[in-house]
Amino acid sequence: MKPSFRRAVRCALLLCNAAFVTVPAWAQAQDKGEQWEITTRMEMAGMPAALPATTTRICVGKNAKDEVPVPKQDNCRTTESRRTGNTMRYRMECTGKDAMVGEGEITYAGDTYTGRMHMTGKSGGDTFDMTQNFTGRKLGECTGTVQQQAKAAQAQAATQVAESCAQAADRLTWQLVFEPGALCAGQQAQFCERVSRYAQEWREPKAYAAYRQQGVGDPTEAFARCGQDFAGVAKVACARGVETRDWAFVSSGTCDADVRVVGDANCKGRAFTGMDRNLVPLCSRYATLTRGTATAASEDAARRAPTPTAQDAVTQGIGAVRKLLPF
Amino acid sequence: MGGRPRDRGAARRVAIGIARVAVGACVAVALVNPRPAIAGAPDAFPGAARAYVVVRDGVTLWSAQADDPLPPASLTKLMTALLVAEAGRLDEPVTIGPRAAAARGARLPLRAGVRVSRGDLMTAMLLRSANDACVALAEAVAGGEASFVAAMNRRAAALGLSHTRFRNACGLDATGHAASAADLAILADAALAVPAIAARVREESAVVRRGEDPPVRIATTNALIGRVQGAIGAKTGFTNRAGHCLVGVVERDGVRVTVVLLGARDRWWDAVAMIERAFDASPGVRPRGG
Repeated sequence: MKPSFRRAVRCALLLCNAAFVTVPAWAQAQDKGEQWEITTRMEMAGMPAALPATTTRICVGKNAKDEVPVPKQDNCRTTESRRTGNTMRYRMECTGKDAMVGEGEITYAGDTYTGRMHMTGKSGGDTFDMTQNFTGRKLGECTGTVQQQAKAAQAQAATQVAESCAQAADRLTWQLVFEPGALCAGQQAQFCERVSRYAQEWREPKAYAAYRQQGVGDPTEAFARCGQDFAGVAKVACARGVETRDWAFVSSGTCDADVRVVGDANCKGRAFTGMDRNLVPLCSRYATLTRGTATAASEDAARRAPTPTAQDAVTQGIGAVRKLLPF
Repeated sequence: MGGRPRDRGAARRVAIGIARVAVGACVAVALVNPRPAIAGAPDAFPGAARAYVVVRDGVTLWSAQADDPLPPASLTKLMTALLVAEAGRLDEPVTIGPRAAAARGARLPLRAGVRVSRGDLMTAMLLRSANDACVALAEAVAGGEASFVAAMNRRAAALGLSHTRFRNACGLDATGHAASAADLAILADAALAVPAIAARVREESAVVRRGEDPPVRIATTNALIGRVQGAIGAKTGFTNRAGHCLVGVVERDGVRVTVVLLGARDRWWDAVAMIERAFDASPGVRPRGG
C-alpha cells in the first residue's frame, strides 16, 4: 500500500497544481463574469479512503464554460476536444518528469454541469491512476470583473500559503520547507530562526512540556535540518526537571535515563501506598521502565518513535494546495 | 504552488490510520462478544502474578494463565455489586441481621439491628470491601446468601464467564469458589457500565451512614485512585488462598485499560507498570505531564 499511496499523493499534488493554473485561463475576459460553485472529489488507486470533497467558488468569463478546463501548464496540452450536444469530451497529455495522459468529459445542464477526468501516468518512476469527479453550478453574476476576481483569488491563495508556512514553522513541519519543491521552500531562514528560538526556550521543562502537549510530531529532524541538536536540548531540559523536582515532566517519557538514576534512589523498594504522592509519577515511570520484558518494552519504543500527527506535513501540503483548487 | 512534501510520513500516517481502523474493528467485535481474545497475548510480565491480563479497549495486550480459575477474593464483590445495582432500590433501608453483623474479615463495622440503605452498604462493600455490608446486601436482595449466590452464578453464565464459579457472595476462600483473570476483566467492564457502581469505585473516600450509629468516613482500598491519572476503579481483594488481587481500570483520552492480577507479587507497582505500558503503546493517548 505504501508505494501506491506515495503515487497517489504525488498525483494529488500534480493535479492540484495543474488545476490551479486553469484559473487564469478561464479568467481572461474583461467583462463581469459568472460565479460558479465547483465541488471536486478525487479518487486514487491505492488510497485506502477517498480524499474529502472540496468546494470552491470562482468567476469565469461568460462563455468560458465552452473552453476545455484542462491544465494549462507548459508541458501539458489538449490533444483532442469535441462537443456533442451538452457533453464536451477531451484528451490531454503532459510530458516531462510527471508525464501523464488524461481523458475527461463534462456534461452541461443549464446552470449546472457534472464532469469526470481520468488520468494515468508516471511520477518519480511510479505509475499512478486517478479519477477526479466534479460538479458545478452557477450562482449568478460576479461582483467584480473576472480579472478582479482572479486577482482576489490569487491574493487569497497567497495568504493561505503564507498561513500554511507560518504554521509549518510553528509546528516544525520541516517537510513543507525542506523537501524538494516544497510549498515553503523560500522560508528556510525563518523556519530555522524559529527552531533556534525553540532550542533556547525548551531548555526549560515547562516550555518543552507545552510543546509536547500540542500533540505535534518529533522535532528531531526539524532541529537537524537547522543544525540544532534536539537531543541535547532535551537533555538540558531533563536535568533542569530533575533539579527542580518537576517529576511530571521528568516522567513524561523524555527523560528516561534520568528516571532510572533518580528512581533508583527514590523509588526502588518503596511501597506504592505509603509514598509521597509527588513522587508517584516518577516512580510509576520507573516501574514501567524496570518491570516486564522486552515484549512490553518494544511497545514503548514503538510509541516513542516519531509519530505522524493529524497535521503532518503531507496533510498540510495537500490541504494547502486543495484550498486553492478552482474546480 | 508546486509543493511536494515528502510522502513517507503520509504513508506512515495512513498505515497508522488503517491500524486504528483495525483496532476499531476489534473493539466492534469486542462489543458483540465481550470476551477479549487472549490466545497469543504474550506474557510480558512473567512472575508478576499467578494470573494476570491487561486489556486495552477490548484487546488483550499481555496475559498469563488468564483462563485459569483461581480464588478471586473480594473481586467477587464486583458481581455482588452488579446484582445489587440491577435490583435497584438503593435508597431502601436494610436492617442488618446477625449473620451480616458477624461477618469475618474486613468490616465497616455494622451492628445487628441498625438500618442502612442499600446504597450506603454498596459504598462500604466496594470501597472498604466490608464483608458485613456484603452479606447484608445479599440477604436483602435475595432473602439469603445461598439464593444470592445462585443468582450470581446465573449472571456469570449470562456474561459468558465460563471459568467462574461463586460459592459465596463476598469472596471468602471456599472450595470451588474461583474466577479467571479474563472473566474478571469482563465482569469489571459490566460492573463499571452501571452508573451506581462506577460513581462509587472512582471515589477516594466516602461517608457511610449507619442508622442511629455515627457515620463512618471510609477510604478506598484501591490505591490507584488518586495516584494514577485516569484511574476509575474497580476493586481489590486479599485472602490467604488468593493472595493479593486487583482489578484496576484506567481511562485516558477515551482509551480504557483494564488490568486484573490474581495472586500478585507486588500488585501496585506491577499494575502501574502494566497500565503505563498499555497507554504508552496506544497511539491515541497524549504524553503525560510533559
